[in-house]
Amino acid sequence: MKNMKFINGFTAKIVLLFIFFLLGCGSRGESVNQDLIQDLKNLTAFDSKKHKVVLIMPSSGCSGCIAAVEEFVRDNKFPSLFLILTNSVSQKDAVYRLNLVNPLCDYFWDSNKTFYDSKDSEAIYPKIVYWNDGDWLNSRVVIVKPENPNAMVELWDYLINLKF
Amino acid sequence: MKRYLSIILSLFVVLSCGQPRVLELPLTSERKVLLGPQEILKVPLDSVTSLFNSLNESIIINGMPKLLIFSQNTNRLIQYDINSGLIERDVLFPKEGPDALTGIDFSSGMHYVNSDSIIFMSSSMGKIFLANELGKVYSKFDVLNDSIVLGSFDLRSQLAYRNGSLFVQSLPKRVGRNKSEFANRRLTISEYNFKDKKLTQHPLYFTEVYQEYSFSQQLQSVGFVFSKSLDRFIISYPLSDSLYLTDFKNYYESIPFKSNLVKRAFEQDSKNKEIAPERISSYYNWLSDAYIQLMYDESSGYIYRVARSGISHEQFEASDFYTTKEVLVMDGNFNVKGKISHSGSSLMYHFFDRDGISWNANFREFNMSRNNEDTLYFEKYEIY
Repeated sequence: MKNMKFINGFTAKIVLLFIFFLLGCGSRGESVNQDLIQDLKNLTAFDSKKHKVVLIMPSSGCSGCIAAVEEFVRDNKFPSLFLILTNSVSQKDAVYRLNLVNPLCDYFWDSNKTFYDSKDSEAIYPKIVYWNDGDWLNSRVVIVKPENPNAMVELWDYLINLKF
Repeated sequence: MKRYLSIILSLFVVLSCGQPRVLELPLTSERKVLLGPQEILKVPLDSVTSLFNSLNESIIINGMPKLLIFSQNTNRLIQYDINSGLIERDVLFPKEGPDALTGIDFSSGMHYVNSDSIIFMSSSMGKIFLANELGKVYSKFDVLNDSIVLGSFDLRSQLAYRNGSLFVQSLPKRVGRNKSEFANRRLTISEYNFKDKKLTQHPLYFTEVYQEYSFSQQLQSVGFVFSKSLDRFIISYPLSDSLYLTDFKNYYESIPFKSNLVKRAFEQDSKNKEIAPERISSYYNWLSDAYIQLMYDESSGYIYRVARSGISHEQFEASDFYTTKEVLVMDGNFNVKGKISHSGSSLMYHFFDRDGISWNANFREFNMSRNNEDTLYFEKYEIY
């Protein structure tokens, strides 16, 4: 009976701990996105009237995901798209690699890594922010990662629909 | 019940933490510290050529020191005169056609033999190109192979040339093969003879560390150069405290050349769930201390060996790859002269002149913080 009590207490603690972790994980992701949206709002180079989508591109991390996004940017320069190049060493190389010498879309070189949170487990992936100017705190953040293979197709559809 | 749970928990912790091993290396007496840089030199770059060109080489033409850079951004081969800091030659290789150097990317190599024989190697395409200084590719060799890949697991592969043969590190192709097929051939230098187009593998048996431990691929990238005056290859393993002299036949000699920065290295734990699978090899490389580079001045016989300490998990996560580094200096008679402290920046460029060695200054301090990617700065050390 004493053992039973211990197991019940022990199990209860484990369950509570598990719930705590689950809640913690969820709020960390949301908090990262809220910080990101807030930082975007404060960024002078970001024009919320003109820029409808923001693409945040780290230069290292998930190499396949980054390569897909870089290929997209090389081929697609929409005025409503705003690029943020973050956690990257060489601006000269990035500009050349992405063909931004005479850019048709605006970009921001994030030398202070404002948009790169090394504690965020998803910092290795590019991120797309669909800006909602009427209710900007509810802007949608999409992570470009292997589990989300349609992210770039969806982005292209969105941008082309804005154009026509 | 509580006691059983504690025992099971302890066992679980011990078993899960005990798998990857750590190689511990002994310390030696401290080296004499040599003087810091005596001069800062500047070399201009154009508006497109990257600041970071891993394919570069210190060469001597008519007794004068030059720096050769292959710009992968623009497919240009640029030759600088060190004394004037000016561009002497700027040759464009086309992206397509008979003179194209295709597949010059990660792990590729370049080696200047003379003005008519500049060797390029594409690891990903399995090709070797012979070009001249005018940008003409006059011979191509297909070295694609079922069992090995030519090149180190690094930004660039070191190439060496001796008597009509090219020497380059090779790594076994592992996918779909039984490990026993290449158990004693994990580290090899491959020799490709340009005349008979024969590929010969020279297994490196000199160090047992790599037989006993399973390290990340970067920690298996050897530094090696060919010394014409000695007619020997000089080899530096990332995790061996000695250099090795060899002819790849029956001669080898080990020469102790240790840095106290290299104290321990971590085996790769591929089950580590904290790190994304595509970064795991890089993670265990950066966590470990290692000898990362070998530089050799043929005219003086001096050997320079670069050692670095590992970085922390937090530094890796923050992409902060600055680490404590030093350059060990050995003269042509294999006497250790001392060490030079290094800024910790990437050591990508170096060249020799009659006074000693120069290498690129700290990129962060001289370039990034000044928003200047159009000038290469060099620290000059008078050694001789």
